[in-house]
Amino acid sequence: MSLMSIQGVGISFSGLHALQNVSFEVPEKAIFGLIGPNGAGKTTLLNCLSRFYTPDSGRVRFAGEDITRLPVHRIAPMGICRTFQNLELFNDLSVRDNIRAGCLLRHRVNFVAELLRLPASGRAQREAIREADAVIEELGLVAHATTRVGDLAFGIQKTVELGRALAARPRMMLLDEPAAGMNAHETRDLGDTIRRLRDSKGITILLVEHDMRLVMGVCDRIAVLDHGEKICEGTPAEVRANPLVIQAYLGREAAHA
Amino acid sequence: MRKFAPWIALAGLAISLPFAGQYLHFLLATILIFTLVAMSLTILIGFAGQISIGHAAFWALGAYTTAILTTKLGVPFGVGVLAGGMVAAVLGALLALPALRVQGHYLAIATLGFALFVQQVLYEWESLTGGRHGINVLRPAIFGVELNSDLAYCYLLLPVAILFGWITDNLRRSHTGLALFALKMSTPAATSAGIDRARHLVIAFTVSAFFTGISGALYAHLIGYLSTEAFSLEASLGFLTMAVIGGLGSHVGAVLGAAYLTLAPEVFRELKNAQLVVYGLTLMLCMRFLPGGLASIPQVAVRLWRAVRP
Repeated sequence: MSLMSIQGVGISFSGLHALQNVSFEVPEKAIFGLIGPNGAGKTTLLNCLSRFYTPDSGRVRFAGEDITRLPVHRIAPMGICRTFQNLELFNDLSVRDNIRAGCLLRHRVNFVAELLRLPASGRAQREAIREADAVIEELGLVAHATTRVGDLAFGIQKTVELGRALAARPRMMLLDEPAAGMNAHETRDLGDTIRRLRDSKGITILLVEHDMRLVMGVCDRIAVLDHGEKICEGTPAEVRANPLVIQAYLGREAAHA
Repeated sequence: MRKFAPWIALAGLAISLPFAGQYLHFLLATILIFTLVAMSLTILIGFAGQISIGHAAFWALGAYTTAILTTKLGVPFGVGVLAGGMVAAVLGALLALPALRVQGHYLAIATLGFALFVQQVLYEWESLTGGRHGINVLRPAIFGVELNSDLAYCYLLLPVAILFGWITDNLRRSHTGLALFALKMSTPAATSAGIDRARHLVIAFTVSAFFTGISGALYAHLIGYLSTEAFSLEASLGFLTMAVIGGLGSHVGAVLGAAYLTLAPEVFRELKNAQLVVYGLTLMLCMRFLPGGLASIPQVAVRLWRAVRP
């Protein structure tokens, strides 16, 4: 059963086709890899799915619903959360507040009630803090809970970003190059974390990544983009053996040689 | 002890008030009224990261609304002031619309245009506002008892300022406050976490305009006479200066900023037109050497002390 279905998505920026007729299905509870050379359109596609961009053509469905034109802030309540290639954090806030921000969508309070500190607002705040603390504990961030996020090491900041996404309790997560800037050891841990998200929480993962060892190691299925078009899709073994993929990565001459 | 310090200071102030002169009562009332504007800018600039050089418009709307309602329709003082805040809040929500599309300098220009527009409308609509002749405003009165002295008015304004300080604190700690901080620090991260940017910016502008509208209405009853000159671009810039010099974010900063805005014209009166030079210089020096505003002096002093201590 496919959870997200991408049908003929295309987008161009000032005449340049960034994506052309891209289609694939992400099965529920899959770890789905999206790879391709630099400039292939992977992040552009992710931005279409998380609704920062609106595709010129095609359609995106999530759990049967058309989300192609949904406003950005309605995506998380649908059950889709993302992380960013270059960390996007609330730098001046504590780790707890960063993660608490991910819980807000479940705790809407009328702002007048908040201004006057009516009981409903205190209740919502206590619940959100409890949920945030649960995520903090789960990710081993307890020691940093009250630290300003901007002061933390890069690796911990990445975990905080993941925590914020998790706090929203998504059905699907879009991870944009989570291994960027990590060493081999950290990347291996990341692979374990991704598998755990799927296995114990049942979260479907769409992984954009350059680290081939990670992608080939964790993904059930992979789609390859090149120049904005999907050139191949299949299991890691199939993708690895596909001549088009080798060509895209190594260049035409190398493939002929 | 630290927790009670501000309350002890406030109580001391309230007790010693009668021994101060009338002139001081007037100055204190003005400071308390400006404090509300400083808090409103704390919300808009400090929490939401939005800029406005048009807050004099909300101040004017609050002032004229209560002036017209109380003098022409005989509405009670309290209702007039509340209505002043409401009218400002409605227009504040409208001013959030350009903020959804433009930021930074462009938003500053949009808010400036709004302020000039409101001032001009108030000036031209003579039948309602008195136009260039101005409009007289009644003394404040509670339950029919007129507060004839500024001293009595101070005793009303003090709890009002505390109330609005409390509301500001509530907002800071609330989910709406967290959402505003998040939007300010990373809009992509905030919106992809499900935070609705449009809704929260409208709230920030509305609440900020409400505070300033209430302040304007309270000011109208203190001054007793309104003319549109009081609500010029200079007033808007004065508000911004107050926020920067006092320091955005703390109540102490709000009060210090308000005190600066009230007292600077008194201190520098002799300088006549050169006053603006002094304001400009103060603002620049403050931004260069004291970016946290007057409220940050203790921290800066501690840092300096640690730096020079052998």
